[in-house]
Amino acid sequence: MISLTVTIIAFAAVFFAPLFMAGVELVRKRDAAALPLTPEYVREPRFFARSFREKIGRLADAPAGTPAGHVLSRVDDDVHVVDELPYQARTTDTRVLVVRGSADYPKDVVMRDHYVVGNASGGERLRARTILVEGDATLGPGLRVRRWIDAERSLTVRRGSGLGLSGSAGGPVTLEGDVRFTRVFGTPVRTAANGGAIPAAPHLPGAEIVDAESVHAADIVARGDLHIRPGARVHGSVKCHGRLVVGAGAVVDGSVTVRGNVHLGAGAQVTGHVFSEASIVLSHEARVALEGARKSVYAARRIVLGPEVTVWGWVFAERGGRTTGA
Amino acid sequence: MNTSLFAHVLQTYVVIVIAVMCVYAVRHFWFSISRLSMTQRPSFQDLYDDELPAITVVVPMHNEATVARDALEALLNADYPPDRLEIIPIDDQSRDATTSILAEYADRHPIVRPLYVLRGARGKQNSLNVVLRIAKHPIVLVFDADYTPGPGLLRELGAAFTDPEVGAVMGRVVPRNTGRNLLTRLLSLERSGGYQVDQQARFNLDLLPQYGGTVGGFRRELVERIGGFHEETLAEDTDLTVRLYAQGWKVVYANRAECYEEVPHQWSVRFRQLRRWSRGHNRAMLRNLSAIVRSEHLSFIQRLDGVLLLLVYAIPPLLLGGLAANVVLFYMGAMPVIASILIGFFIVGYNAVGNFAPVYEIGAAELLDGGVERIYLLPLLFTLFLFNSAAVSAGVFDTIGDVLKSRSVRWDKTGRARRPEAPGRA
Repeated sequence: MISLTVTIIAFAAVFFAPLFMAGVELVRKRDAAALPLTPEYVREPRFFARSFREKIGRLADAPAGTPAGHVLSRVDDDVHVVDELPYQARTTDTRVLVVRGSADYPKDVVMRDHYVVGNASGGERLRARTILVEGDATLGPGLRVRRWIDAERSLTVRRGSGLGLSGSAGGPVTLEGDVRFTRVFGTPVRTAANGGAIPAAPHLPGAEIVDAESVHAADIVARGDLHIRPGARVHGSVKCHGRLVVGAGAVVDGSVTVRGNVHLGAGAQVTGHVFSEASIVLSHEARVALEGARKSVYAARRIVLGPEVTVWGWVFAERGGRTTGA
Repeated sequence: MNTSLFAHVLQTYVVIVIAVMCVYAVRHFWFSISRLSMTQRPSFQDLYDDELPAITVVVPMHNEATVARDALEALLNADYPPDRLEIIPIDDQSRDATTSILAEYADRHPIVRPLYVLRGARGKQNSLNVVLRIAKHPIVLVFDADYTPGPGLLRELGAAFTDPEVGAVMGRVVPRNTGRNLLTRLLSLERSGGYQVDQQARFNLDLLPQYGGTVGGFRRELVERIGGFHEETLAEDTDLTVRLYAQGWKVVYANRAECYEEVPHQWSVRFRQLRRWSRGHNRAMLRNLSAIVRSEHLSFIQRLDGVLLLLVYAIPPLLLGGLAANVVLFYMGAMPVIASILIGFFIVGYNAVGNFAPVYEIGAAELLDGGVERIYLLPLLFTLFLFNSAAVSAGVFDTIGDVLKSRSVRWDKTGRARRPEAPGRA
């Protein structure tokens, strides 16, 4: 009799325990708010710079030499305003710094967030979390940015650097060899005449073919791989369910959407977006988008930019990108 | 028919019911695994574009004075070049202040071009057919009147048409009035599972994500080419989805293109909504099932997913029938007691957690959305079992009646949860 009672109680406990917890949540409403969306969110390649400037930009007019307190809403932000960089080689600074003039960074500096009202230069093996420059910025070699870097006019990044989450500029962005990035936005983004090997175009047996030097005046949808041979011209967009190779000098006058890898040959041009669910290689002198009509190069995996590549707009590699170089 | 034969028929029926349940359970489980631990397919929202496609935004309205201003203001504040944007609010025979509100906005904003439907059959599908003729732009986006899209949403939805194979796009709908009562909380869970997991998984797996009629869009010329929207449908979204797939087009699901909506907070309103969905969906199923099965553009697995998608609103009566067959077999002595009880539990349990309340999909969705305490509500989804089954079954019987009597369908608008606006508001 006792065992039956225990069994019934145990069964009731197991059965009603989840309902009891549900009832508690229903009454107390601990997690009853709507899922938090960010309805004001807008896709903006230079969002970090704008947001940072809104918080810290007013300090450009503050008296130099005085601590400005906490303006970034983080307890460990110790913001200081200076006229000139107080650094020597191998300086380590944990402050957030507003530099009211230009900044010429010495070698091997380790620092946090900098807002530079003038231009920025130097910076060999500079380690920084965030850099916002209102003028031109030419930094490196060996620059390492943990979060992002933005220049209002132009940004030039010397060889062997890493741009963290985002590198952007209001004007042109120039990347030398062996630069690592996740997102780069510029008008345009250019790579310098670097050395280094560009991954070879894959061999695509059984691919659909657009003949060399031919003109194709419609959208193309390829169920498997697609090879647009050198010199061909496609007036329309391309959708490819396999891999895509665009031969040297070929032109796609539209966007390219590909499930697999994309390889743009030397001098190949796409006037619209290049979107890949895998990886993208842009070879020597490949061009994407046009001046005045910025587009995107997006890869769900990786992007490799060869020498003298030009992209008007955004280069976005979810798992990281790099320029070729030694 | 002798008793033994009748019992065999019922037993066969129960076996079929269990087989169907297993297929759907595997499908939902596969989707959850895909969402939690497989590679997520990217959508097009990260594309930055100076040359945005020209779009027409359509907002069907019938007596929407309480929400019309919010919807129009949200669209006018969109981060979209005005010369590439046209807004067509459709006044579908409203009897409240909707007409005057639309006229006021049209006077102030040249890109707002209201469409006044004064007579004839009401319904979204009829209005959209008119829009197909008058819209200026090649891409048409559709929002419900109680939706307030954020400024970046039009860009994010429009980006999907970069892909020349895409015929339609669908964003994610998120309930705003979640905490109002038990119903809104349960519907919030259902929506999370449906979008965050089900739709995204179907997109990941290259199956058939669905165009959902709101927070989505389509290519105008394409829809015109395939004959526009059927006037005899209450589920123009499902109908369009399967017709697009059957002809080789794709639907993109954009999980980060999110928009708040209001879900019904009254059980009677939800019953009518579900019944209408069921009726419309089943009509679409009858009209398009063979086209999906025979489509040469779809792989076997895509056709199978299409069939399961189309049959989803036909399943509850099948399951209720399974329960009834189980009881009958029990009283006939043709089913052992334990087996009968187990099958009864299996059917009820499955329908509570596997079909209309796919508990692992919802659990996975809450995990991804960061829901913590709300997961405790999962056992209460059991309460939706009979409710959903009854509403959907009513829709199925409506469909059967429509077909047998060649009956026309009548649009039944879902009641709004938002309070009327204060008098004198500018």
